[in-house]
Amino acid sequence: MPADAEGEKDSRYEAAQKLISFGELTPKNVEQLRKLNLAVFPVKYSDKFYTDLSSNPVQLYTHLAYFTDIMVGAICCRVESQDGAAFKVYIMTIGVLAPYRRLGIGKQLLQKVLEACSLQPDCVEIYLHVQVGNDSAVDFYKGFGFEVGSIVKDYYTRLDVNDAHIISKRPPFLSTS
Amino acid sequence: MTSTRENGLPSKEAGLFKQIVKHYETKQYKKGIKAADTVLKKFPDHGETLSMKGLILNCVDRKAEAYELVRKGVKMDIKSHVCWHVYGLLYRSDREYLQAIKCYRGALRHDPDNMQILRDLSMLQVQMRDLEGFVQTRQHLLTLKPTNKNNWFTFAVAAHLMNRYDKAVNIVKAHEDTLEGTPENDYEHSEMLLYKNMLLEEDGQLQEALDHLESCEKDIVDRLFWLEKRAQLLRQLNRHADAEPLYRQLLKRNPEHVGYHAGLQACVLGAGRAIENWMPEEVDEATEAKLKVLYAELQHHHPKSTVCRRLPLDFARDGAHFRIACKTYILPPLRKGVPSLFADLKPLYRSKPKAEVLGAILEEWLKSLEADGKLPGESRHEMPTVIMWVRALLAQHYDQVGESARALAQIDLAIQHTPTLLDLYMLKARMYKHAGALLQASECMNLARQMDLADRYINTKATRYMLRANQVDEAQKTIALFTKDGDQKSNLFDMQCMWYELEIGQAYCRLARTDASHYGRALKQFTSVDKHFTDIIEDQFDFHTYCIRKMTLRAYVNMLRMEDTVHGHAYYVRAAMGAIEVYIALVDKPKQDAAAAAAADESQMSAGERKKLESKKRKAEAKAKAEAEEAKAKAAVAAKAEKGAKGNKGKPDKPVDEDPEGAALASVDDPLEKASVFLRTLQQHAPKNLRTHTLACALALRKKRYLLALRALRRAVALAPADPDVHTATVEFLLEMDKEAAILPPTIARVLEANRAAIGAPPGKSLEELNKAFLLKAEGAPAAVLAAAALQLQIAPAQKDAAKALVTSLDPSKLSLALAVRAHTLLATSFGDAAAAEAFGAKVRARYPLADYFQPPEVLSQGIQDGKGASE
Repeated sequence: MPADAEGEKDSRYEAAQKLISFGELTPKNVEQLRKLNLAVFPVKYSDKFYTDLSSNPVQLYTHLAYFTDIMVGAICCRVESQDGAAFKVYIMTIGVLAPYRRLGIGKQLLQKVLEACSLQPDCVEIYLHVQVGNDSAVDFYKGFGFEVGSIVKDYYTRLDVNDAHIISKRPPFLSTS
Repeated sequence: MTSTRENGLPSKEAGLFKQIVKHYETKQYKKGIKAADTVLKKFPDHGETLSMKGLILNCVDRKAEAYELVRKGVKMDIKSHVCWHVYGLLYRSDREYLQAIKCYRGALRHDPDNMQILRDLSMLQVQMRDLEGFVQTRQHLLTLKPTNKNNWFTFAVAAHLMNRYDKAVNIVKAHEDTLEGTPENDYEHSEMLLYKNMLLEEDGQLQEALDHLESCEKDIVDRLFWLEKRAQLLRQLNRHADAEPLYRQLLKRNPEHVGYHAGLQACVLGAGRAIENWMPEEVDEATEAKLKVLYAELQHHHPKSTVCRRLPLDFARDGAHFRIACKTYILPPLRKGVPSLFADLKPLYRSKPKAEVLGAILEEWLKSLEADGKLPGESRHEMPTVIMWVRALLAQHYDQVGESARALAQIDLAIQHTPTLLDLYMLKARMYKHAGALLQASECMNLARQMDLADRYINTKATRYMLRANQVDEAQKTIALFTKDGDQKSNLFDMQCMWYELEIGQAYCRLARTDASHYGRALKQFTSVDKHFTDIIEDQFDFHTYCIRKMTLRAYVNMLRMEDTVHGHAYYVRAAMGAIEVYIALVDKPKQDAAAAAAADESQMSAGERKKLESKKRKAEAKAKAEAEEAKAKAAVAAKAEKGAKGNKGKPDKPVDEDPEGAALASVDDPLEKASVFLRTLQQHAPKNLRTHTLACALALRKKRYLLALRALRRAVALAPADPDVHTATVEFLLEMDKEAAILPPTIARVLEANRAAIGAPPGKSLEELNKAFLLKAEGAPAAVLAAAALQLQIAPAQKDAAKALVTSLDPSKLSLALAVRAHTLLATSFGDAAAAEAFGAKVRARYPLADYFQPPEVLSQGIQDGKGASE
């Protein structure tokens, strides 16, 4: 799914930084993530999506963002095994509630996952789908050194535009473009 | 326990006897029994050995044998203090303290100076509050052994409890005089001095107390208390100038202590009384001006203190002053995001003008934030949470002033802004509750619960809301999420979880209106609460010795006083009243059913049908009874099985509840007598509660104890002569008296005549006149109008329409939801006018569109299925 649009910096940006914190997803707070995703994305995810995520004992690639201790953003990834020990990380969702955007929260969420990837020598790629036409999202990932790849036809099924870009990044994960 | 008397055994057996005592004291029960049996083989009638064996058997749960042996022991050796003492210990272990005291006295007859027995006796005396006896026993002990410090202080406390302050002070002084050199234990010495100070203060000798306090400054280890007490005494002696700097010093230590603030304010104002919560009407202009200056200064000195900013909201009279104070107080927690902020503002709603200003401020803030993201007069853009919290505050404001629709609309906007914050769903649930939509409230609270499954608070809230909506099964499952697995019911009982027992008990009461089998379950819960209070009283026992030994005398005396009034606690009062109501219902219900059956019978049923119905009813009753017995038998079997299974695990077996559903409680032969037991406690501990007396009257009428009913009414009238419930009780009492007039004993009739004026019904005034006078005086207060209408129907059934007109003339938009429900029920049942009830209900629906009670049935059931409104 597309990330929140990162435009110009907000005048509250600096002051907001010390109000932001991060946490882990657990079976106890997964319902808050569901509420978050319902508000942010036009797609409704299945119960299985949430149970799989929250019951995962290792939360390297899933992070929750809090603003004054209120959950306002999340990044959720899954690990896709390749040949041997190698694996790819796929970003399923990344989103921040509308009123809390432009404060750098999405950026920090993605940064956390990239840091986790950089610590795993077997991680060969991180990638995601972005709806065609969502240029602000594409720019956001480009800023992190992601590359725009091929277009997948009819990736989405019930949206106005159903095609999606594949956007990906290979090691080193912490370099920018 | 050693026997000084020759106990009549040869030396070998005497040695064995000593062993028995030793085994008992070291809890080696098996060995003890064996030794006792050896003695008894030779001397089967030896009293003291019989008693000791009984005492040991009592410890291994063979109670019946124990009593048998101990009684035999006393019989065999009636002059032995050991036998009597053991008899007393046995009773004490069963909490039969009065019996135990008798036995101890028996023992002392034969050994008057036995310190062990005297000590045991005195503990029972203070537990039972036989203060007279307690003083005597403690005096005796002190004369026997004046070298023991504890004997001095227990004697002092005994005198203190009798309010003999001079005596208590003298005892402490006398002990002080025996002390030489520096005290061994600083803390104990300090506590002794503070206890003496407490005695002086309670005796009203404030100056002496102050002098004493100042004289022992260097010996007090509790420095903070010393400062507090000194400031308080100085202030009470009107030495405000001396007290003021002390309060300022205390505030420097803790600027959030409301008591220090009240003390300082009293000093600055030169007032005789320290006030922690100012009521708007208590503040005059001069007071406001002085306090305003004081708090400007305090806020400057303590910039981080919340209380320094909060208190001005209470005493501000002037609108402009209040506005500024509001802004100063609300802004920091608003920016920080403090969910409980509104709870702190709620007391201000006692003043209508303040409530209006608060609403206006919040509306202004919201408007400004919506326009440009800034608060009025501020240059910075607020963080995104601020507008959400302002909406939440505003929603709570609307809710507080009864505007449910606006409240819900505003909270929905807040949820839309930040849908991940569970506090918002909790607030929404409360708003539904206030709107009378209990099912939606419960659903919404459950939604909030699901958002944080690790939060016990929200779990508790959800449970409570389910119980309010009579969803008993769901509630039991929800509360069980946070109790120990598998052992839910007894776990909550063991934890003395009284809020839950009361709520579920009351839910069962409501359910019992349609299904009488729930009465037992309700009673079960209320009796559980009663047991907790018995336990709380019981739990004092260990402290009688412990506190004296540890020298925490002040805390000890305060604890005893707390225990003396603990049955006046709201939890007990609710439980007792609930139980009484259930017992009354158990008596009334069969009568009402019979009356209803008779009415139905008259109108349409044929004789055959009636017979069928009655036999059906009899069968149902028999079945219910059989089921209850069966359940009881099953429980007993289960109990045995469990006991067997557990075997000798070492842990004492927990007694199994033989009546988990309370069926036995609800099928007692004398429900009214059972109710009277609760009532007597209420009369003693909750005499200021009006319902104590109206319930007393209701109970007495059903027992046909008319003088008791009269007495209850007199007390009720003395408390609240104009209360509609009191008026109702009075008229119903007089109606009953008229009915019984022919068979009333002349003495009772005479007393009644003589007391009519005292219950507001002077002789010669008809009931109708009485009711009219009440109505006139009430000036249209809806609760009074409803009461008068219901009574008029009873007094003069022929004038039904006039009475009905009283109800229908009420303006539904001005009624509270509870009163609207009562009016509707009155129309539908007492007046039996479905059309009028429906017309009235329609009008109420316009005012309370969400209230469950006024929903047409099909809407309600559909609403639950769809999860209407609660989820999004």
